[in-house]
Amino acid sequence: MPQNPFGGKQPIGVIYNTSMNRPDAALALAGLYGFEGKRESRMGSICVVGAGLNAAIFCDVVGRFYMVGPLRNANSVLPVGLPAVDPPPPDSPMVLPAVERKTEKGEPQYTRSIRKLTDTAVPEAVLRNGVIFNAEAVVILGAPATYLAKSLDLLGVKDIYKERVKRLVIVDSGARQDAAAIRKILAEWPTPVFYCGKEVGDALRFPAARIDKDFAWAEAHPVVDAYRAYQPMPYDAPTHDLAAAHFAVHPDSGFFRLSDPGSIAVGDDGAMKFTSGGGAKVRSLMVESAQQDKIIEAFVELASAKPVQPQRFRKPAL
Amino acid sequence: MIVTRKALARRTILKGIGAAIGLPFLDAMTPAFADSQLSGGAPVRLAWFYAPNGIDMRHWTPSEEGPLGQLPGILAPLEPVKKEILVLSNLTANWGRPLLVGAGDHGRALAAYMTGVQVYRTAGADLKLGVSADQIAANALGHLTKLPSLEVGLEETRQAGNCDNGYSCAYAYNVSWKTETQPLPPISDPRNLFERLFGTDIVEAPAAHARRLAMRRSILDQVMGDTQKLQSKLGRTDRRKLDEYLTSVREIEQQVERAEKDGATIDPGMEKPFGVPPEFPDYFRLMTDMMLVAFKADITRFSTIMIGREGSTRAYPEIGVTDGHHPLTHHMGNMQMLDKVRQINALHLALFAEFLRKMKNTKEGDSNLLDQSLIVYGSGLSDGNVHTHDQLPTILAGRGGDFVRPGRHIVYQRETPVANLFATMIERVGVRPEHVGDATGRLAGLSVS
Amino acid sequence: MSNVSLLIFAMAGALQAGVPASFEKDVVPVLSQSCQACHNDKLTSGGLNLTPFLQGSSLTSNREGWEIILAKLRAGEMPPKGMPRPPAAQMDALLQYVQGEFDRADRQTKPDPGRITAHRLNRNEYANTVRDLLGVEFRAQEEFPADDSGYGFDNIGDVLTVSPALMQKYLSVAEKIAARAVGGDPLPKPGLFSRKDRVRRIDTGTIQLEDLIEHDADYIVRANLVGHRGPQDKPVTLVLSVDGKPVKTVTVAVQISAVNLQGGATQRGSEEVKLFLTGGAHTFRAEFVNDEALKEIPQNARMNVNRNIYPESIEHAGPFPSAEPHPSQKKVLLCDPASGRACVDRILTALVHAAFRHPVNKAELAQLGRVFDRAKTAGYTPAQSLQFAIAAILVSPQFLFRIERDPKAGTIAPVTDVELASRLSYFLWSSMPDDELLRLGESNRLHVPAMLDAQVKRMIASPKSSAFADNFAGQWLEVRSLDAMKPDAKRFPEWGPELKEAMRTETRLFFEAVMRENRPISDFIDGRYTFLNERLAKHYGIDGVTGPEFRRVELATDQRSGVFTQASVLTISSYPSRTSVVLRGKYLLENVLHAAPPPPPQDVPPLDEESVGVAMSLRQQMERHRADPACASCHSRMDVLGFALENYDAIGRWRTEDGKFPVDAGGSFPNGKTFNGPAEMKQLLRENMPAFTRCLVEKTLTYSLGRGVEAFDRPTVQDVVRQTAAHDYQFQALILGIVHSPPFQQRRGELAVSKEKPEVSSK
Repeated sequence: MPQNPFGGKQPIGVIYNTSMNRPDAALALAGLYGFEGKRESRMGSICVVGAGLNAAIFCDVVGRFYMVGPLRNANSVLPVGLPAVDPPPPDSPMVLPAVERKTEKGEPQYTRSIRKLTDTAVPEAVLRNGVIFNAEAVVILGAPATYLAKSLDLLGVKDIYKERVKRLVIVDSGARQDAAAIRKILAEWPTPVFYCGKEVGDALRFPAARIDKDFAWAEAHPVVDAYRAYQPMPYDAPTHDLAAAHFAVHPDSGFFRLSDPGSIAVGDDGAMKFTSGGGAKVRSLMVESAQQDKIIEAFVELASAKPVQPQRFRKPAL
Repeated sequence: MIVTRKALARRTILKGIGAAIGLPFLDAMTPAFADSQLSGGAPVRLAWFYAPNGIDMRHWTPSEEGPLGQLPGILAPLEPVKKEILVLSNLTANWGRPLLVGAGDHGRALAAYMTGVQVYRTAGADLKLGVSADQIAANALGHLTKLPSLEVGLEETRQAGNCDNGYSCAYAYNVSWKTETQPLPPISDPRNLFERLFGTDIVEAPAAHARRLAMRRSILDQVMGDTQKLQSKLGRTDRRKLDEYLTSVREIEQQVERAEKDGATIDPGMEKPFGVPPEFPDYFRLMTDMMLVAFKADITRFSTIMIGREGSTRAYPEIGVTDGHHPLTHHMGNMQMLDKVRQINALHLALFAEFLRKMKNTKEGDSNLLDQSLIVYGSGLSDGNVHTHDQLPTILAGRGGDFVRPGRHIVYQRETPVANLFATMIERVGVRPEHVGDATGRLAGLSVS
Repeated sequence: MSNVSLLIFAMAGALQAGVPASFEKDVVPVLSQSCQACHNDKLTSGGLNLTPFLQGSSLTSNREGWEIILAKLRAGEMPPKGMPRPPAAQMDALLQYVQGEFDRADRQTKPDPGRITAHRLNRNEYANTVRDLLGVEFRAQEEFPADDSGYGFDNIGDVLTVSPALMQKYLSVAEKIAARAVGGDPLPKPGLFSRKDRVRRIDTGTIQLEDLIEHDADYIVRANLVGHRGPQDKPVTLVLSVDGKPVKTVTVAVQISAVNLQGGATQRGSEEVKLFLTGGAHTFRAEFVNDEALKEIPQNARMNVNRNIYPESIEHAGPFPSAEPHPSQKKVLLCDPASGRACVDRILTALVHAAFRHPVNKAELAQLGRVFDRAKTAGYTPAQSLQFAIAAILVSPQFLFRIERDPKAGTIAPVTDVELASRLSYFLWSSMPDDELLRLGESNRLHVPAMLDAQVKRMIASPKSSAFADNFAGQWLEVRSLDAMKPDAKRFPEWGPELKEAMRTETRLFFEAVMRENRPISDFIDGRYTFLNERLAKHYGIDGVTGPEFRRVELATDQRSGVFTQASVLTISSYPSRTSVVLRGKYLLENVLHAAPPPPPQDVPPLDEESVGVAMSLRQQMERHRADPACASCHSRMDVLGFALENYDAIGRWRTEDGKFPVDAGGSFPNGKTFNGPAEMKQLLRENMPAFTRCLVEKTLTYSLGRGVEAFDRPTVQDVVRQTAAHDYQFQALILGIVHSPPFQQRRGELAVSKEKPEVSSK
């Protein structure tokens, strides 16, 4: 397995497909940067599918928010993927306040590197390149599978995925999937596939009060802005993507039980349904209900972690 | 070895090297194209100019998308030909990046540029890359011309010792790869380039020449027989080596056969060059003039030219730059060094512009050679100081036979593989492989439509 | 450290504790107490997490990583300055234990000699082989593209490929060489080639022309002179030379003739010589030597034809048939090919045997005969037909490749004596085996150790071993890069081809002396002699050396000694306009200590060497740079070595000031040892002979095998290092050690299954 031969194992890379139109997606971003701060994972690439330019800018803003130290270039941080479709899908109003927020001086509150479509990346390329950036990776599919499916047909990609992608976690938040694409994924994906059903995120709700309390260290926090904007506070949002992200990085946390292998049926309308058995190998996540409070506490702690200076990582030599 | 059916006045071609003379005499060459890929037209030629050590992009990228206005500093020499070029922004060569492997950006930048695959890190054993875009085209269509492809280099001397952090020099010195394991070393000696194009035995009576060709073919036949016998006794790696050899022998045999069919020897009408011109601009002109002749006479349709090896340390005293190019690109923001790097970049582009003008002034039917070509000028590095492999400097010149609408700046989405451009180019000449390196598709927006 | 001392240390450690050495006792405590604070699961400084290394099994599962750790500990680089260090005894016990385990493991592993891929002759080998086979001097550099290199050398079988362009070249060159060897093609009508436009003026009295000669034949070379001096001036001596060798020396009158004087015509004259030239590029030179009178003529009048005489142009005319058979004809034409097939067969038998470097069977010979017949039937003369048969030899894979037969898959077998002959000859001569070597090989006597030793000694003594100096030393010491160097002409007006060639020659001659005189390899570090001509001696500020010839010079001062303070090395490790402590330090680490530093990490701004000398001295800059811990780990090792060479400028001249700052050539090694100036630095290098020896052994082994040194070669490297040390570090002991080693004498059969796909990971 590719890793530092000197013993220092690199954190696992996370490839995050998101529509960035629900608070759980924003929280998932925060959680993933929380993991990154603890060097338990690193952001391989983010790909926004099913939303517009502002969603991509929001992802970029959050990434820059957590970035400490000098501006990194595309050798270490990939731009955010976004399909160039005309017209673009609508953005969730959730992302706008953070994107548009200004300081007292009238400058943007949050720095960003994306301003226009050409600052974003080709989705299937960035998904693939994100995997290539990491010795080991996980893929979280919280958005239509269109571009992840496309990436499978690129040269050598199935081999690379097979070698490096430890697991694919498909999130079902009730949103519609791209039926043909998700079927292709289910048929061709070369490594273990997990299904994070709607009931998982619904069972694990993020406490509204903690948004105020645990993020208070930041004067301005884009994820908090998004949470507040999604619907009138207070509300406890489901944590679909965040739960999937946690499992993707820490499958052995004990937070989730796994079903027997089964399959996902995809309706022509893109609705997904998991059923056990049937020869397929997908496993479905189930919340350990006894752990519910502990899980939620862990989610809060993770999502509200402060930015951390990245460690310089270099190869030793004789 | 016939290049053209028409006789040319002796010693005319290339006589005026140094001056942008437009090579009008070339109009006398009317090659009988072995095919016609395009209805009623001449074939489309593809060329790649590889510039080493990246570019100072702040003085390269035009500020606006769309029609090219005032060109930024480094591109300024292209002002006279700006109607003939596209500036393409944001293309990426992902496999040049350090990824998990770390240093070795120069070796990787070149090796990954036209192959679009991972560069297997080795200082020697198990060299492994992929087929470069020019060779995908040449492997499919090379049989139509005397030479399937032409690889030219403008750096004679080589660095001794290790090349780049555990990457074999084969990666840093060769942009064209015929197979995963076989680089095609560029020809950098003018005389050798001349002889590759026109043969060594230029003036010989037709009958004598035919007799010689027959002997050559019989020698090559025999060698092929020997090799096959020998191979049966060898291990896998050795067999692969001999396979490479055999493939090359076969190609030369085809070349000889073609020459036999074509009849008499020809007089390319130029004096055989000797030695490398001491001034870089003259060297550049001499080699690209020969490349132009090769295109015009349909000796080949696909060519790559390396302006320098990746990591080139060439100094350019001709323009007052006495420090090495590569050390200068690690400028760390030092203004004097940046300035010198820009001078080097601008010199390269001035010479490239000159070449484009000559191509434009070379008639071909109702059109001209430039309009019949697609010529890339690019590098596998953008910022040479910190070795970035995205937002690469890329120019596409020519119209590829009424395919491209030049004169514009097109900005693509980030991470768009530069291989998408190459895939589009080779598709234009009628080659549609399943994959071109890490291409994700064709490059939109180039065409007239 | 030798095995014996290792053993003693290990025993001492064990006795002291009263219990046997063990991983738990000798390794774990040191790692966890002194190292793990910075190298743990969370904090992986330098990318190192030591947790896995706390398991004894890591000695086998991650030997690679352990070797790096050992090197750091041995060099005293870790723990870094300022961090507490474990007591020396504890550290020693750890080193002994781990090294002991490695040695034990190496003894138990099944030896693996590796395998050498079918090896295409590189261009130097090709040229030398053609020279030894046919007597044809042929300049491969002008015909073939440079060969790609790997592991720092251009004779690596895996990297040497055959492109179609190269194959085309092989074919055309084979025909040319065969024609030159036999001389069967009629020469074209002679012509006069006036080369006014290409003549290069070196100085008033010297011009030079580099030009291509098309045929092996006689040519007239002519120098045209113009102008005159005063009636009282004495004649001057004109030397015409070709490729550096004088071919005519003549006294030339300098006064104007009465006729010219009267007619007012410009005085013109010429001197010529007819001589045999081989086809290829040549350098012609016309030069007034010892022209003292020139100094009397004012600078601005020296090109005035009424005040001075000077060579104006060089031209050549030809080709003319040669009066007598040239050397290659004598060598190849054992009989007259026109006399019939018997003679042709005789010639071809001898040639193909030598060319293929192994016994040849009848069928192979018959095939060549058929080429001859076919050519003859086609109407070629017997001599020309023979040429085609020779060309067929020269493009055969058996000539172009060195191919060894493979033992059964996975098994190990000695190479045959015939193969051994080629391994030897391409190692030391970069050429084919001569008759003696091949005969010994074919009679299976070559592998006998005493015989092998004698042959190696004979080969080293032969002038052909200069190829080893050119090709091995030229690449190990990177002196070949001199051709790529372009020192800033403004700062270094003295730079030119002459100085460059003198530098190259010095290093070559020095290397040859160490090799042929069997000097200890420590001479490379600080041998107190060298080889100089006037030009280079002047460069070094050494008096008493006159003339262009090189001679041995004993070095009296500390300014120079060994190879690393030779101008060649100092120049190639500099930038065009200034020195670089980083480049020089890196050079020494790579080529002397075999400890190449890693490249700088992505996010560290490299040093601003440009502003050096402006606001801050180089040293001040470097000190600041090294304050950053991420830079310090490597630069502390690299730069100190470079600083020790700051007494030499970018073209290797001694200096005591750099710009306006005095040179400070002092420093300290990571282990705390300090030095001041190059001599003391070399003294410290000498104290670390095992490291230098290992470096040289690995480089020589790489070159001798034409493949990279692999992990399984470790025991071989160890053995050769030990043997060399046991022979007072004599260079020939090193060479013999390699020649007798398993990788040089044996071969492993390749496994039939293809190796796994190359991994993506770093090495």
